[in-house]
Amino acid sequence: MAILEVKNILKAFGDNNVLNDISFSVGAGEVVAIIGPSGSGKSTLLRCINQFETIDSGEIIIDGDTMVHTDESGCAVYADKAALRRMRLKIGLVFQNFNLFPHFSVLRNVTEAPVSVLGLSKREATDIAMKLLKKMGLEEKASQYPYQLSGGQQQRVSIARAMALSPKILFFDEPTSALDPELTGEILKVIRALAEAKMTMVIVTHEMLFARDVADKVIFMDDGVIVEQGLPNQVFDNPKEERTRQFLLRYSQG
Amino acid sequence: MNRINLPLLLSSMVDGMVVSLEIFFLTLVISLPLGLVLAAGRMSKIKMIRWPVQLYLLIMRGTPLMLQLLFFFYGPYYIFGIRGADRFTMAIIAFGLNYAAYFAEIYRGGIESVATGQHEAAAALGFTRSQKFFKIILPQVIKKITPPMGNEFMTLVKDTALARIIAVAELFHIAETAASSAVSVIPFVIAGIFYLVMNFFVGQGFLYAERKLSYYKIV
Ligand SMILES: Nc1ncnc2c1ncn2[C@@H]1O[C@H](COP(=O)(O)OP(=O)(O)OP(=O)(O)O)[C@@H](O)[C@H]1O
Ligand SMILES: [Mg+2]
Repeated sequence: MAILEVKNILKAFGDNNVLNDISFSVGAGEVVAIIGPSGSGKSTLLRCINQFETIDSGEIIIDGDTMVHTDESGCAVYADKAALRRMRLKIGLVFQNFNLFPHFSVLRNVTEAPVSVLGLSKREATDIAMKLLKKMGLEEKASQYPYQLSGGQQQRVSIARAMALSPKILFFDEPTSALDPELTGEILKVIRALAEAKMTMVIVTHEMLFARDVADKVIFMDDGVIVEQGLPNQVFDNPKEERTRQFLLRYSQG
Repeated sequence: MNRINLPLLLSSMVDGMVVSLEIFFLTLVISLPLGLVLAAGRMSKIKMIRWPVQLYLLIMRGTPLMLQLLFFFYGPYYIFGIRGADRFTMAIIAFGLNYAAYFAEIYRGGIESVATGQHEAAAALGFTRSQKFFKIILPQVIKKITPPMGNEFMTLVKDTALARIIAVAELFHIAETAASSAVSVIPFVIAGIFYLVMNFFVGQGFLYAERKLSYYKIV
């Protein structure tokens, strides 16, 4: 069963149609990479799924629950507050700029949501957090504060923070774009390990080699539409669409 | 020139300082929470709430506090023919309403300076709105506004002297009375030292708070 189903999403900012009939689905354990030029609507798509933006019409289904659908008159109808909250807890989001809580230690960044949102005891949450931090190679940083960490370390903490709520699906919006090139590798390694552990993920990225390598499916977006989606080698080596070809060509030239 | 009875002068000035401190603390008791309410109103999406609050802030910050004190003290009688509360109470009300306006703008600046990413990260993790505000946003706001609040507290210590305009027997009022009866500047010098001492402690308090909050940096 699909963990995420997106059907015919329309989203406009004023008269700027940012998402135009977007449809795709993500199955359990699948890794989907979304690529595309700047301004093509990749972040907006993730923001719609993560309830930071509302869609104008279309349907989003998360783990079988309808988050939003469109009624006969063409209006987007959202689920009630409690249901939206439940769905939000099934998904995790990793930001480009980490957005760690600066006033919490690394450990507390990871434990706070499990304690306050899921109601776990401090002890349970700490156990989970320490296991995750260990996986990220950050156990010895647990008592430090975000400003004391490198960008790569901060991003690994933010991945641990998202994972601590055991989401069904994890979204990444350009997780390495704010990092120095020598630090992107450590994040890609972590994501790869999550993929091997069959974590369901949707990753917006400009790292083409990584996308090809780790993704089960690649979606190429341009100008608010999905131009092409398919297996990585299909999209990268044999793009059907001229726009995809052009984009990849520009990219490979750097 | 009359001889000054220093012990007597000092003891009456200490009494005056106590009144000044009462004004100081009671003003804070009113204005710190009221400022938060005003800041919320100022940031409201609803125009019918935001606009009146903006007008209030404009008036309170745009006219002299001394004028406001006179207005609150004499206003009830001159306008409605009724006696307001006693002069001390009216002074506290005027100070409280005035300082709430300044605190509101400091709070607002602090709240708006917290990165949207913090709101989004908290929302993405499933925190409720109030959890987000109290656990994530407010602690960062407190750190950010500590220095400007220190300034405001020090100004308030000195502004308490304005209460003499409605004859509240605070430190400056007593110094003025003593100075004119003794034809001497000594009471003024003593008053100056008293204000300085009060603000020294205010300053130390804020330094301590800033040090306490320096265990993290906002990245
Ligand atoms: N809050 C907003 N209000 C108005 N327009 C917006 C808003 N957010 C995004 N847009 C517009 O939507 C379009 C898509 O933006 P989006 O950020 O989704 O692109 P992107 O594919 O993530 O680009 P990038 O690779 O640069 O991150 C752009 O034209 C952008 O200007
Ligand atoms: Mg983007």
